[in-house]
Amino acid sequence: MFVVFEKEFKDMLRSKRLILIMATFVLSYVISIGSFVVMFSEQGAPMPPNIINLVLGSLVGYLSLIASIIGIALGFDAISGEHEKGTLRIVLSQPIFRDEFIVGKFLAALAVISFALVVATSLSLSSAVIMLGLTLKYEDVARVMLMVLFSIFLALAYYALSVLLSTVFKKSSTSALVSISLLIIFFVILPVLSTVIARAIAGPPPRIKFRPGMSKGEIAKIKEYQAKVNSIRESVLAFSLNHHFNLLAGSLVRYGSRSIGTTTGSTIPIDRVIVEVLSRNLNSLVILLIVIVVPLIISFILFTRSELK
Amino acid sequence: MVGGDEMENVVVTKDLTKVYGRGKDKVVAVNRANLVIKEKTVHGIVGPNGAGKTTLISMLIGLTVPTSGSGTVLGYDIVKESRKIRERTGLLPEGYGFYEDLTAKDNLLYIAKLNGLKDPESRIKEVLETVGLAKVMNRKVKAFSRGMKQRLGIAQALLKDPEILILDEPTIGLDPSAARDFRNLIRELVKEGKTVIICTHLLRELGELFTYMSVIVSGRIVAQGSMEELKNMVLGKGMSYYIEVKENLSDDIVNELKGIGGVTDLEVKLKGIEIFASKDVGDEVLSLLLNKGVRISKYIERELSLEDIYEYFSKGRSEVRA
Repeated sequence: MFVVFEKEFKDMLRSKRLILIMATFVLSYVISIGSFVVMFSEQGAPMPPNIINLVLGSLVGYLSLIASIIGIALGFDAISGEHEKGTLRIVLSQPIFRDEFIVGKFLAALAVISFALVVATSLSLSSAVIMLGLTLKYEDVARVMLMVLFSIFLALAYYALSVLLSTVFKKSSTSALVSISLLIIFFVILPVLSTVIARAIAGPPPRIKFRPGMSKGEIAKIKEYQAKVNSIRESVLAFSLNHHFNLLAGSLVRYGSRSIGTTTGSTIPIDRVIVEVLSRNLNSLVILLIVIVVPLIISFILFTRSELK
Repeated sequence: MVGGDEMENVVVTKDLTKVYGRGKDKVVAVNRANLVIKEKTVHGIVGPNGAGKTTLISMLIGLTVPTSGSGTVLGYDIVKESRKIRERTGLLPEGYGFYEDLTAKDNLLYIAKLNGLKDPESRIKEVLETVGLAKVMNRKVKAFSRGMKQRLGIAQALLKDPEILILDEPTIGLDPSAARDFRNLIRELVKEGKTVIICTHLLRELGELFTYMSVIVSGRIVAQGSMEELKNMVLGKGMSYYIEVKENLSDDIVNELKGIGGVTDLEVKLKGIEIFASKDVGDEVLSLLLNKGVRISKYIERELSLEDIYEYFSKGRSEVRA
C-alpha cells in the first residue's frame, strides 16, 4: 500500500493541473484583497476594526470553490484513467491486492489535498496580512486552521464522489463531466433554486411597509415569513456540499474573535468558538463526513469486485 | 496431460469456466477449459479475437474470478493463492500501457517496488539491457515508439524474474524487424528455463516458437498438444495439393487419387481438387492425372502450415487431445 501511496503522492504533487489550480486560487485571492486595499485607500477611509473577519469571510468563498475543484481534479480519473492508460492490468498483475491499491490512492489524495490547501491558504493569507498590515492573534490562526480542516473535508467529499464516478464510468471524460456538473449544481444552481423554491412555496411576502412605529404584530409577521423562507431555503441547500462547508467555515467567522457585537478587539477563546461552531453545525460536519465515507466504501466494493476482462 | 512425463505441469485447470452477465446478456467467455502447460516450454493459446484467450489467462493470475471449475499455477490455487501466483508470474497484457509522464526507469521502479525487489536499480538495468532499452531508460515513455513500449512491456514482465511469462497478443502493431527481435528474445528466455505462454491469433508470426499449442474457439479448448502431435498424429496430413483442371474429374479418377499411398483426404472443388497427404505424393498425383488425359490449368503444392491446423480445429472439429 505504501508503494502505491508514494507513487500517487509524487504524481499528484507534480501534476500540472494541481499547480495551476493552486496558482489560480492564490492569485485571485490576492487580487481581491488588493482591490479591497485600493478601494479603502482611494476613499481615504480607515480600515474597519473587524477587518480580519472580512478577510476570513472572503477566504471561505474561495476555499469552498478551490477545495471542490481540487477534489474533482484528483479523483475524476483515479480508476478510469488507469483503465484508459492500460496501466491497471499491469499494476494488478503484480503481487498486490486491489484494496491496497485503492486505499493507497486515497491516502495519497488525503495527503496531497491537505498539503495543497494548507499551502494555498498560507500563501493567500500571508499576502493579505502583508497588504493590510494585520497582526494575527493565536485565535485567528486557530480559526484559519479549522477552516482549512473543513475545506479538506469538502475536498475529500468531492474526491470521494469523483472516485466513485471514475469507478462506475470507464471513461474519465464522462466522470469529469458528471463531477463538474455536481459542482455546478451544488455551487451555483442550488443556491439560486433554493430562493426560487422558497418564494414559490412561501408565497409573496406580507404587504407590510417598513416604517417608524410598526406594530409588534406586523414585525412578527415579517419575521415569520422570513423564517419560513429561510427554512425552505435551508432544506433545499441541505443537498449542497458547499453549503455545509459554508455553514461550518462561515460560522467560524461569525462566532470568532472580535465579531460578536464588539469593535474593541476583545477575543473569544478558540475552544468556545469550536464548541459554538460544532454545536450549531454538527449536522453539516456529519454530512460532509458521510459523503466522504459512503462513496469511498461503494467505490472500494465496486473496484475490488470488478472484472478485468 | 500433454507430451512426455518428465516435465512438470506448471498450469493445470479443470473445467474452468467464466460466464459474464446474466439472462439474455449471458456470455460464456470460457467453457470448461482443461488446460495443461508444461514447464520450460512455449505454449501457444491460439484462437480468434473474442475466443476467450484473455479471460482464460486473466483467471490464471487472479485478475478475474472463475464462475466454476478450478486450477493451479505453479501449484497454487488460482482463486485462493493468486497473490503468490503473481509473485512468480510475469504478464504482458493486451492493450497494456505505462505512465507516460514517467521515465522508463521510473515506470519499472514502481513495478519493482510493488514486487518488493531488494535491489531494483540493478535489476531494472539488467532487464532494460535484455530488451535493448538501457540507453533510453531516463527518457519519458510518451516519447517511446510502439515497438519500444512493447519491449518495455516485456521488461516489466521480466522484472521479477518470473518462472512463467504470459504474453497476450505480444506482436500486435510491431514491424517485422521488431517481431523478429521479439521471437529471438523468447527463444533466449526459454533457454534460460522460463515457461512462456503466448496468446495470439497471429499464428504466422509466432507459431514457429510454440512447442505446445491449445486452440480455443468460442470459449472451448478444441485441441491441445505438441506441435508435432497436432500436425502429424491428429491431422495426419503433411502436404496439400491444389489442382485446377479444364474439365470435371470423373469419379473413377477421384477414387484412383484416393488410392495413392499417403493421401489422407480429398476435397472436390468447383474447378478442380484439393488433396491432403501425410507425405510428398506430388509426382504420383501428376502422373496419374496426365496419364488419364486430364488437362491441368493450375498446380499448387505446399506443406501444411500452422494456420491449416488452426483452421481445421476452429471449423468445428470435435475436441482433440494429443
